[in-house]
Amino acid sequence: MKNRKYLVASLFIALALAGCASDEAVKPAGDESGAAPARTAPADSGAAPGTALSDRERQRRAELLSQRRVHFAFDSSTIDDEARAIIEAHASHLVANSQLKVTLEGNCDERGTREYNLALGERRAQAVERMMKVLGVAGSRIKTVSYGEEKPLCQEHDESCWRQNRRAEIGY
Amino acid sequence: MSFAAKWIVTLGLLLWSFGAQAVLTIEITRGVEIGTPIAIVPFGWEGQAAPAQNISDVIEADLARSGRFAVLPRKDFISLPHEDKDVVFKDWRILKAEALVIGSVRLSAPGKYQVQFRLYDVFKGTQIAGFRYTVGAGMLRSVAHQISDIIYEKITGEPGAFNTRIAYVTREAPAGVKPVYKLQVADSDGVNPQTVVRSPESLMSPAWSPDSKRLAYVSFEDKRSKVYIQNMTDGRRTMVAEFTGINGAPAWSPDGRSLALTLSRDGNAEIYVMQLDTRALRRLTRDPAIDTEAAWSPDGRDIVFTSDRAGTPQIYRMNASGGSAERLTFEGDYNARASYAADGKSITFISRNQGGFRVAVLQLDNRTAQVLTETSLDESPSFAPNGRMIIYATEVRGRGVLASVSADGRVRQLFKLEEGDVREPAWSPYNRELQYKE
Amino acid sequence: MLPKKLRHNPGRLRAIVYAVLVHAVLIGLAVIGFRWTVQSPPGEVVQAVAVPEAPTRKPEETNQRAQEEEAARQKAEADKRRQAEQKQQQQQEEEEKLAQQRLVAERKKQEAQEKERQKRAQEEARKKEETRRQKLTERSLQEQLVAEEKARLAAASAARAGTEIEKYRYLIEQRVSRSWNRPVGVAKGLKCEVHVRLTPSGEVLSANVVRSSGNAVFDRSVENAVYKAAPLPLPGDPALFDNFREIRFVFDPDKET
Repeated sequence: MKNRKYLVASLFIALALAGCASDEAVKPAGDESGAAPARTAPADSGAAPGTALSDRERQRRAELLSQRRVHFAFDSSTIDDEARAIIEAHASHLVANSQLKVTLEGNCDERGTREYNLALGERRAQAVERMMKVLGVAGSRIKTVSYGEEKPLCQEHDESCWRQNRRAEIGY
Repeated sequence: MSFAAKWIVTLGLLLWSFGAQAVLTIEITRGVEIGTPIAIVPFGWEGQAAPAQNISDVIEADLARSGRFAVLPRKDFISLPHEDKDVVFKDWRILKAEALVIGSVRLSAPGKYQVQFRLYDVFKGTQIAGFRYTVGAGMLRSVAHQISDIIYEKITGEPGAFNTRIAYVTREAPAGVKPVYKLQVADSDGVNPQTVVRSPESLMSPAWSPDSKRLAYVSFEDKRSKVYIQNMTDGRRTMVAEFTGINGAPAWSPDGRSLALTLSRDGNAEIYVMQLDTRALRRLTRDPAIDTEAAWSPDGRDIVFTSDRAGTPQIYRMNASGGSAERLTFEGDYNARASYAADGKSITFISRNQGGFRVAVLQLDNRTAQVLTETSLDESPSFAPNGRMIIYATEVRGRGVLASVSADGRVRQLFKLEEGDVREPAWSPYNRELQYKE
Repeated sequence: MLPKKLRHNPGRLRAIVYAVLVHAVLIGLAVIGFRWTVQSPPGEVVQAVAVPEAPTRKPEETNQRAQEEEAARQKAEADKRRQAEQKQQQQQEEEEKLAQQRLVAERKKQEAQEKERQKRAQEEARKKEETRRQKLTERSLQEQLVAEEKARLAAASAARAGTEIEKYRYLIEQRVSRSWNRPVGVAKGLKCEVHVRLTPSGEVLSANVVRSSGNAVFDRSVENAVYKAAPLPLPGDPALFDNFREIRFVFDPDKET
């Protein structure tokens, strides 16, 4: 048994190395205009001359930008990975387009009391704001507002609707 | 035993049995709690056009809703007296009525009605109370509620709260049309609503001033939360808080001169007190947590509020001038939106219990809490000014409605359903001006 | 508990007087009876007298031969006769003897029986005297025993009546409980006593609060409870009504049970 395990493991390692090797091999071929392997160029076309993303990257970025909502757990303003990716995309976008201003609207599901939810919504908006600031967006360009539970996207009384409503909306 | 001793013993026994008690004693340790049986005879009406308000109907509905009375059905009445001389107590003793109400209405002058009623103790055969009112047609309903208050107080020993009003928010969203929000004020039974504010955006947190002449509330008409005060007598409106961030949770001080507010102008939701004449602000909480939903104690010394400084929302109490806060709720992971009863001895709030958000009451002396409802989406509990009933918002079949529960949890009732969603009820204090005395 | 239930008629004093009288009579009889026993006369004893045997006759010597024959014949006849007579006499005498003996035996028997009877009578008399003496010395205990006996008899009848009383007491309690609209929102520990007078048909003649709870609403509720519960269930036997003529209701809803 042990022998087989070692065999499999070593096979994987070999493949991985091979993969890396092939990547290394491919990279110089596909990135002729770029100088360094590390990418720092912003996503939007026409803004950063000389830097370009892979198609895959660009597609992903566009997808994330089209997302205007990040969602939260009940009674929480913690940003999860999915939210983080979206916020990062928007932050990059804002950094790249310094004329843009963004409004962050915090919302909650219907449960609990309205005034507390008004404050919780604000906390969610502020959590997104904080992250954006860290990612380089100037505070003066960010506005936050909370609607508590007053602007739900759906009216049903089940978890799938509640999850939709627990959100921060990113608006330009 | 010696001879003499035996004699003494016998004599003694005889004397003792001679002098013993004759009266049979029976202990009663249980009763029923169906409410005082009361008979309300439809008021007599003299005149051509009957008044729009059926006064005895209003009284009957009030007393029945309170949960303290068992209103006897009219079909069982043997006689229908309107005047004292027509009352035959035997007719009411047979029905096991403990109290009897009779009355009459007549037109005393054009547009002026004279309303008279008498309340009797049936088994004693005596009158408990009787009053006469002279009012315009518009006040007839208020008179009916006041009669209910008098009957309630005379029979239960506690003040009634029928001659009061409630404020609440409605949201109507007919298909294809943008929703409309209204802040409305109605009689304590939900009848006769008057629209105070109408807006295309949300309205929240109506709060009565202690003299019940003004209403403070939160409006999103400018696309963010702002606090306004509406004067009920002249209809004028003042904007009192439009600071950066949240402006919410207005709460009147018992002297009517200050308003507690939740503002996040300093970065996060904190509680402030604004002096209304000077607009001067004093900050009461300093905590990175959410601090909101302040409510004053009736003596003006304390403020209870919601804070999640311990991780989840709980009820805290601090001095009305700020300072350290004492935590009051320890059961459950969500306790919010507390407000005092008029005697200052208990608070009602929303508590998450078995997964549902329910109305609860906490006794402040021994810190015992009791959950009063079994629904799962309750909000905005508000005590009646006599401390005996709590009005709150809940969901029934997917719609927001108003309900009331007695402070001991025994009686629950739904208000009649308005169009659309109803939420955010607030029970007015006693309106001294509406009191009539003769 | 027993005397309470028994005290339903004022004839107790009379009972005591009767008891004393009865005892006086009994004691008197005992005393008199004793003397009578001492004076009773002894029974008569019959003495049997023995009957001696009849003496045998000497035959006479006459005409020598004829005479002698005649004489002999006569003598023989006479002898025969005499013998028969003798026999008869003997028989008679024997019979008499037997009879006498029988008589004697009987008399003896009777005597013995008489003796027995006398003995027994004496014994009885003696016993009676003893018991009378005991009674004399234990008169008070006897009286107590009588009193207890009376009580036992009365209790037996009261037990029959008592279950009736208990039954109706329970029924009344149930009826009043059900009619009592217990006030909500009053303090705990309130207690109220109402003194009620009833008519034999269970109607309330009067109901008065004799110990107020301090709360007017509570007091009024208990008064109303009694009125609404009327007519109260009462036993049909009018002799038992006295137990229910007056009732003291104690309303104590927070009593520890």
